[in-house]
Amino acid sequence: MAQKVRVIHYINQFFGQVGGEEKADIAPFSKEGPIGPGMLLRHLLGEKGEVIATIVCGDTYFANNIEKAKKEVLQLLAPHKPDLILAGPAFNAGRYGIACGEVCKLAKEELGIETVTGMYPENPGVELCRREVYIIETGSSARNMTEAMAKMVQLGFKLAFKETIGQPQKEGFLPRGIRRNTISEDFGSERAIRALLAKIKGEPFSNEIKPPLFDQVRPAPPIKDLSHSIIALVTEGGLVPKGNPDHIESARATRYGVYSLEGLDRLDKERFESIHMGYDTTFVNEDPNRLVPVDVMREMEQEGVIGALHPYLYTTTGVATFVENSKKIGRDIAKTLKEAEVSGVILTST
Amino acid sequence: MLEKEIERVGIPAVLITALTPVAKMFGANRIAQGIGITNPVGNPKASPDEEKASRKRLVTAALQLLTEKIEEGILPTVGSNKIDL
Repeated sequence: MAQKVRVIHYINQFFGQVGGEEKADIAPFSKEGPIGPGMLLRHLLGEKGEVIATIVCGDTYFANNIEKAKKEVLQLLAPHKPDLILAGPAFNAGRYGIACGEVCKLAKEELGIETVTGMYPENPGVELCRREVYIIETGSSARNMTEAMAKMVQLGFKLAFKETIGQPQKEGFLPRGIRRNTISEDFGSERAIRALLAKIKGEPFSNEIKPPLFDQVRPAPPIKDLSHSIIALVTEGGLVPKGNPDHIESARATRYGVYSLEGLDRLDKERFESIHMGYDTTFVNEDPNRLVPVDVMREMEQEGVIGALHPYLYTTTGVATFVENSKKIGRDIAKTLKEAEVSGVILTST
Repeated sequence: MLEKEIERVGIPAVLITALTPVAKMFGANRIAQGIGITNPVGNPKASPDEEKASRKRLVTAALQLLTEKIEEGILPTVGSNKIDL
């Protein structure tokens, strides 16, 4: 008869029956066998598996000491040499979700142990580890404990027995954003037409790739008096001083440059160039004002149309930029502009 | 993305790009039609004087958008796709 799958259960101080919030700062410890919901886990594992130990850690302790807690949990885990680690489920509890995610990531990376956790899709822990960790989708509260744990066990066994893991929707875990190629019986063109016809008829259809969702931002209040305003120029066309002294990337930018426009009536090609890899920069390199309109902005400053041109240009490269990086660059620039009390911005893009 | 992050802190920002459909898809609030992908505020086909004049017209229209109250969900776009300069 096959050996039982040896499972370690990771839970927090509450499920570990140590206490509530007041005990959320306890350091991790290990106990033989199942505790609390671990009893349900033992039941679900049946003859195929056993809970050899439970590791309990306070949610706050983990969140405040991530690196230390990870080391300590690793030391508690390793000697058992488990076949599988099940963490949580954490439902919508943020610190708990983060801890579960980190423990799973850690066990897989450092010890090569298969892991499964469970979280409500909005749990902050999801985004931190969804790529690396199998997260069973759960409801938002422990009312769904049985269902969540059953799915975790089912997926856990598949991993432990090295079976093929199917599509997220089928197995019940949150899509990890990993694209795996499979061969379809129909051509893409046939699938596309079928989907389009279904869509036109109002029948259900599904995208093969989920389009990204972009949030709406409330429009900022308008400038009341342009003639007294400070206008800043920002560009994602990769315009930098010649030689690119700060080595702004030509694609997949992670940074932006800040360059002084003081004393300049226009941008000249001797001093500026574009290092953007995503478009033909010939025209811009002949005349950088075609990308960043310093010349006309200065004129309008002198004419009193605007109060002043903000003395700094903010520049980055907008090609193949990771959405997360563009958001971060945007937030940093926005913060700087806010501190400088800029009234409005012209952003030029290629 | 940059336009939205700047608007998010309360500073009106107008995006000048030739790819206005992409800007709309991303949810930029204030969009002005750029002249070309490789030259959003330039027109290499025109003479230098004409080019500068058209740049000024476009930037003026863009600045105008900064002074307008934008209702959520309604995206005004200035400029037109046909640039006769």
